[in-house]
Amino acid sequence: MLLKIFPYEIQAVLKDKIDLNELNEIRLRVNQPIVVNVKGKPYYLASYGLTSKRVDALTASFEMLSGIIYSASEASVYAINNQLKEGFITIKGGYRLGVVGEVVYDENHSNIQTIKNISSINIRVPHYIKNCSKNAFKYLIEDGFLNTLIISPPGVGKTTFLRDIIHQISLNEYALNCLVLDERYEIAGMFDGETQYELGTFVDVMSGVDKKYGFEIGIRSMSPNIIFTDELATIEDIKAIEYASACGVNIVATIHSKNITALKNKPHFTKVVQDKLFDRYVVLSMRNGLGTIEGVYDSSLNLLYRD
Amino acid sequence: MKIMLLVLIFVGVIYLGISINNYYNNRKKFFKEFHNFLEYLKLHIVFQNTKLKNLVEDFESKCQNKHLRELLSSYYDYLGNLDKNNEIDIDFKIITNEEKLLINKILLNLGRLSCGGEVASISNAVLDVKTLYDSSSLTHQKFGPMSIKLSISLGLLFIIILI
Repeated sequence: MLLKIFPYEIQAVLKDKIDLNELNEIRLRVNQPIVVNVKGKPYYLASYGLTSKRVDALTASFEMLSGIIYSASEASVYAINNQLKEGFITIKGGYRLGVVGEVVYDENHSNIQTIKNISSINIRVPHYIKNCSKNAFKYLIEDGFLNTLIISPPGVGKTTFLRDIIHQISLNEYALNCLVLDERYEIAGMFDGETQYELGTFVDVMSGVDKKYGFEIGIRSMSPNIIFTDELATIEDIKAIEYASACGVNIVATIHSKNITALKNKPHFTKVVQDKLFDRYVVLSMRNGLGTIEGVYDSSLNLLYRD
Repeated sequence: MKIMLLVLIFVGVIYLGISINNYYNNRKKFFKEFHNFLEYLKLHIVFQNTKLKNLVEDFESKCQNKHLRELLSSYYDYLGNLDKNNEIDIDFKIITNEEKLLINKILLNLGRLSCGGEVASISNAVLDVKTLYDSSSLTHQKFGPMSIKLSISLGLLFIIILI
């Protein structure tokens, strides 16, 4: 599905010259060279493959970007508008297209209606890396599953790691009901009612849902043992987690941050660390490539494991 | 032998008249059904947000009009191969090249906007197709029955002349 959304010229290069298993990201900006990220390194995309020469790079046009959105929506942009106005689209295969452009508000200027005149697209190519969380997994369980926060800068592999933890639970035959709150369709990549990744036997998925609603309704409707969610950011997210903890539900979440020190400097999160809301912190880095486990820490920030 | 020839000419002329009537009638029916298709799209886009491909497939399976079924089948193929096609193949002869261009334009513009924009765009297309329907209906009213009557008269005239 990924290749089909591109014009033929780009399709041919991606198909013949690039190993899609090593591709992390494709960035298209109007009238700018196309940039691809392969194995964590950025390159320009040329007709002969990857290059560091800007002059050889293929250039994205406004029509190309509009065409990509049209194809990604399967010729039904109106059907994906709820996603589009949140700034992303998910397509079959679990690929996520982040988009920016001209934001259109309603008459009261209070709600976003859509994003038009798309000027940049960032296509993230997800990879299921089997057992990438295996080394850390045993530290995340004591009597039951522990509240865990996965920490890393963007693009290092938090979501892949989270996805593998969900899978490990089924692989290790823990009969725990897992609820995935997939706000941005990244964890499960839900498309037409089907998850795009093998997540396991005991997994329920709520997609496109904000955390406050997801935690409340999810706990009430599915009685999960663990809730998995991506990218904590606001005070509301923390409140939602406190609510779940008070209900006796464990949480595994991710957050953008360089390390625990940086996390403690984030607004609202100093208290999260002080109050020991999480029992484990897993920090990921690029030290030995994407998703290197920089450290598994307990709630008192003692190092338990390092890759 | 002569009677046989007269019957043949009579039948031939009437067949021509019926064909002319059918041509105008088929045009009228096609535009009416195409108009219904656009209204159907509008309704389902507003209330259900269903993807175009599913709507086209659904309407095609229920459609009674041969020509529209053919058009929707081509459109469905186009939607399945967005990376390869850039126009919709319209093969049948009952519409003019200008009308084919308009239909291509309408179909190729579908699915490119948000719900509100899409509905407004389809509403405009509905008006265009309604104009075509009205004009084809008028032409059929004018020339359809007349062509049958004329062919019968012409057939009889040939018989009289040849007898």
